[in-house]
Amino acid sequence: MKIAWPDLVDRWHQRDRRALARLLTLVENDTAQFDLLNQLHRGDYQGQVIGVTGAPGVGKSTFISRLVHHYAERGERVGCLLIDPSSPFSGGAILGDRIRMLPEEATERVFVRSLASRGSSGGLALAAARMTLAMLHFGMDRVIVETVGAGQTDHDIYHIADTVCILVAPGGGDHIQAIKAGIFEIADVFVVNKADLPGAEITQAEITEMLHTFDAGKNWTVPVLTVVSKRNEHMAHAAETFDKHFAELQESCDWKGRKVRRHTYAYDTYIQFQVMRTIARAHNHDPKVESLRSSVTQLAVDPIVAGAEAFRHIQGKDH
Amino acid sequence: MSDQTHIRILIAKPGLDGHDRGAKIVARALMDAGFEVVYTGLHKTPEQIVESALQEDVDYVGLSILSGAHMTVFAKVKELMAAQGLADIPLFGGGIIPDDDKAKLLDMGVDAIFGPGTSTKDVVEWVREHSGLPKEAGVPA
Repeated sequence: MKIAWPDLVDRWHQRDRRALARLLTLVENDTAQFDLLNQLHRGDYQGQVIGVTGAPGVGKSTFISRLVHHYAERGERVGCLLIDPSSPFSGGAILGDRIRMLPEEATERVFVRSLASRGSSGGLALAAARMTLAMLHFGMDRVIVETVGAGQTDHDIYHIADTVCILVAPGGGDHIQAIKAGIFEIADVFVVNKADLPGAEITQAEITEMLHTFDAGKNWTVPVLTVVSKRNEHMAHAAETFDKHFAELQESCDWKGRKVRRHTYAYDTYIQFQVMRTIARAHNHDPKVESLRSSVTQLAVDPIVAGAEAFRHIQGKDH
Repeated sequence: MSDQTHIRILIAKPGLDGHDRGAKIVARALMDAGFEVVYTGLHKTPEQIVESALQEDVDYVGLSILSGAHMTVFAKVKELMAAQGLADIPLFGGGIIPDDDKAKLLDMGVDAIFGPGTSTKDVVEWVREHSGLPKEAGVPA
């Protein structure tokens, strides 16, 4: 099992990448001691969290790799969290988003971490919020979070990002579908990727039109950009747009609101994680709970009656 | 959701070798066994592979090499891992590796080699045993 080395804190403060890597593991598995977290998560952080979401195949990974390259060339420190789904059957995962990351000469400045969703729906892993906070406290100027990419159900990104970027591809009508799923309410920036394909301008126009109906008097008018990320076209404009949004948040004092949302979400998901783990542990180690579940698998009891009894027992309310 | 700690394994394809079917099959088998596999994709340098292992804080590093360059690549990766303070991460591999070379690699400190004829089951069993998991495949809830 991975442990916290005695000199983890010192190495962290020296910006040792290995210390960040190890802390991310401890935080993901919830094996970090709290006094360790308190020592590492000191004070305020300044970085921007950019969330990138969109349907599978729109080009999130390529877009992010170009964005990362752009920031690294400007001398910024960039962290990435790339999330892929865990298999509901085996609990394992293939984390393949790294494949599209460009080789970075400036490895001191770019840190890429893959994570599995581990049963979480909503597009993120339950650990994503606390791993994002770790990267921010480490001193990243930008933290880019890529969601699982189920597309329309990836709302959780709204809770951790300062800037939510929705990526779409031309045609296909995803943007029409998206209107049904609440995506328009969470977007700060829309990007039509693969803009070299036919229908890109029409897609851009249609989304712009739809956004007018959602313009709930925000300070920020949600722009709809076009890029061809695989050819690095217009990526500088996309990066500038993210900068503008961040500046707007800071000027309007909405930045604090985003932080509050992120911290609250980290708290909520941490508790949720603990509850699920308690239930899993009970099913692996508590004979009464194991036997209740086993009666359900034998079709011997009503599943809800058994479930209620198991839950009462887990809470310690059945004495 | 399971309460077990998740084991993370890096599967890498170094160098000019463009044959990734084997690596993908092994990655898939490891995923089916409940592990989290970070797959690097093709044409990575030893430096990129070791940097990935560092950032991902993996429990194992596996190299798939069908190009014949295994002696040089394994040596280089081992050297870089040690330089980055990652010498404690077990290193294994597979591909087209003759028995003589397999013996030399194991002597060099590579932890396991799965050459032609071995099955993915062998790789999975080795990881399970090496990480102290019980023989019985407990599928996470």
